[in-house]
Amino acid sequence: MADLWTSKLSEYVDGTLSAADRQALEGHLVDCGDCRVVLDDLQRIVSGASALGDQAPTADLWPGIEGRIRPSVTDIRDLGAERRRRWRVSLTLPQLAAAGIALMLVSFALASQLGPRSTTTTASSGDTAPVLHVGTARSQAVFAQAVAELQEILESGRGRLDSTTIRALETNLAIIDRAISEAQQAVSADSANGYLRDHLEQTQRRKLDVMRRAADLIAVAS
Amino acid sequence: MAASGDPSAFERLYQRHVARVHSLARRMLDYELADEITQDVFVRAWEKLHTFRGEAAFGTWLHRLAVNVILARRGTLGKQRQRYTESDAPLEMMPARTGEPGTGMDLEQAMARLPDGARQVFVLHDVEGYRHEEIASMLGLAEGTSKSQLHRARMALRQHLTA
Amino acid sequence: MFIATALLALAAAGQADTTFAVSTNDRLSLEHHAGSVEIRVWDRDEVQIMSDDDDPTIQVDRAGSAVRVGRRGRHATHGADYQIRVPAWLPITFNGVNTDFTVRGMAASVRGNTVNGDIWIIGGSGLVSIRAINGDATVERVTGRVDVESVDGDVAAMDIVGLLKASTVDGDVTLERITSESVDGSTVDGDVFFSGKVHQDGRYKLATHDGDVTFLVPEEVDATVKVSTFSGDFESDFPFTITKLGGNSRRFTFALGSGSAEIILEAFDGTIALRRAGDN
Repeated sequence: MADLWTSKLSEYVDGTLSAADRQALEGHLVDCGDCRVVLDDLQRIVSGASALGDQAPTADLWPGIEGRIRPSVTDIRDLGAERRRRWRVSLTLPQLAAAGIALMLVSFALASQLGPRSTTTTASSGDTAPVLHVGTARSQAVFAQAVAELQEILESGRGRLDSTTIRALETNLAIIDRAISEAQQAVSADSANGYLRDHLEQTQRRKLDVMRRAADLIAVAS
Repeated sequence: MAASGDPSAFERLYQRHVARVHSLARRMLDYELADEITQDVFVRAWEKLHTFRGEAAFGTWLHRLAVNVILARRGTLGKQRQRYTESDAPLEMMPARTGEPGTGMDLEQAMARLPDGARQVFVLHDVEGYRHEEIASMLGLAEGTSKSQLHRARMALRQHLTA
Repeated sequence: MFIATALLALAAAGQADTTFAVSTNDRLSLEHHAGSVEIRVWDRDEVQIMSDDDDPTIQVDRAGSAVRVGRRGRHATHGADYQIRVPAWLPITFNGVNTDFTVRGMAASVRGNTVNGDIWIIGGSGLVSIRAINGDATVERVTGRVDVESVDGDVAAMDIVGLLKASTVDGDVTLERITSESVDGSTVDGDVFFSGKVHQDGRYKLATHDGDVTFLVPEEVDATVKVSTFSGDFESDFPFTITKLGGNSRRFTFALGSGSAEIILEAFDGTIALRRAGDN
């Protein structure tokens, strides 16, 4: 008997019993202390459930999401002729000797001609992974722009980090810059080499990763 | 801006809604998968952004999409768990533990101890506010089954919380 | 949300002790600014924090199933050494600034970051993900998915069963006795070493910019080996016939056995060596 009434208590709490059933149950509740206790408990549970707040994940999931929503370089070993032509056009420019800096200057110049950038970067920590189709001036412009913006964050926030951390970051960014420069020189001498293009891209990504981690540290230290 | 495919604008939407999506994933499935499923939800939302016409609040649209992703994952979970136990490289497995009686627990902990079906109905109805008609459609149940599962969940929670 | 905050100020001179119960679905999050943290397991469903700090103020916050442990007040940034006991099943996350972390015997996921300090994880199951900026990161005897990263420091993974990714910028990557179908080890300035099983459908990539790459190959192996370098060289204990040559002599592919697995060895400038296990 008790189970018959108890089984209706949830619907009673939800207000979905028929008028006749509701009346019968309310009559029963007058005499049944046990059912009243159960009803109180169920109402508390329902109230508690509707009041449950939301809790953000402990880890920052955005980088994983961002990595999946931005197009990524898969296999660039088989670049089409059009891309090779574009690369060779940029190679003929006098500035494109061996230095990576020169390449970046050219990239900036091309970027200004290309108009608004295709990816949006903001001056905040933990930001963008730009498309790095190595071998296009546009991609190099995107990379340079991301570096410049992250550099701005690092410069403005370096006072929040201790000297040991700053030294480690600067030393390692210099190591990566040297590697990027060497890779760029190699790519400019052998532009059809898929390994060299991949390697340059990976090394540039590494630089952005380290800079982003530094920016995250600054944000946490703020 | 997000609707036109601007990742930075989408990140702002992510920041605003991630807590709700993650909590839903955690409560509907389990904690260990919640991070992964939350990412799946936002990636799917990005892919489907072009279908959002603004006729409802974005949060409502996103929430419904999250429920769909979670329910789709629910169907493959059984097979995946089997594969995890057979493989040499199990990924994030919750250790099998039983709670100590009499320790008292909060509602979230008690919910995690419910059987999957009852817990999902409880989360959708009492936490998220869906009607039985909607829940039945989502979970492929009869409406009466949804109601009885809900009652079962509430009674089990009552037992856990008053232990 | 059911939230309980407990501020525990301990008056005992010399050593402080904080113990609290945890239960299934709880997870521990630890913040520690400076000093060292050593986490070991025990068979109680409790977390015990021992500290040698003179005036410790350990704060334990509970929000649902998340238990956060940190230090508040004026001692938050002072150096302190913690010894923590946890149940092996409790997933843990830690974050430190100038802190060394050692975690032993876990059977659940371990995630952690430190800025200046070393991280050493021995035992774990599920996800082990650790990152150091200025310090070494070492993972041993873990089954699951391992992601170990540093910037300025060496990275090492030993006796791993599962998926493995290891990287650093200035330091060596050492991967020993690995049983995995997916391995990715890379550095910019340093050497990369791998020894372990080669699964027939596995993929193993070792890469460096300036350093040597050494792959210790089991006697019987079925793998397609892809070698790439810019100004380095290649040595092999195995006879091989080049099946594919890139644009120049410094990129080539050859097969061992049926060639089913994929071994990718890259060194922009350095020696790439394919060594026979057992000869070393």
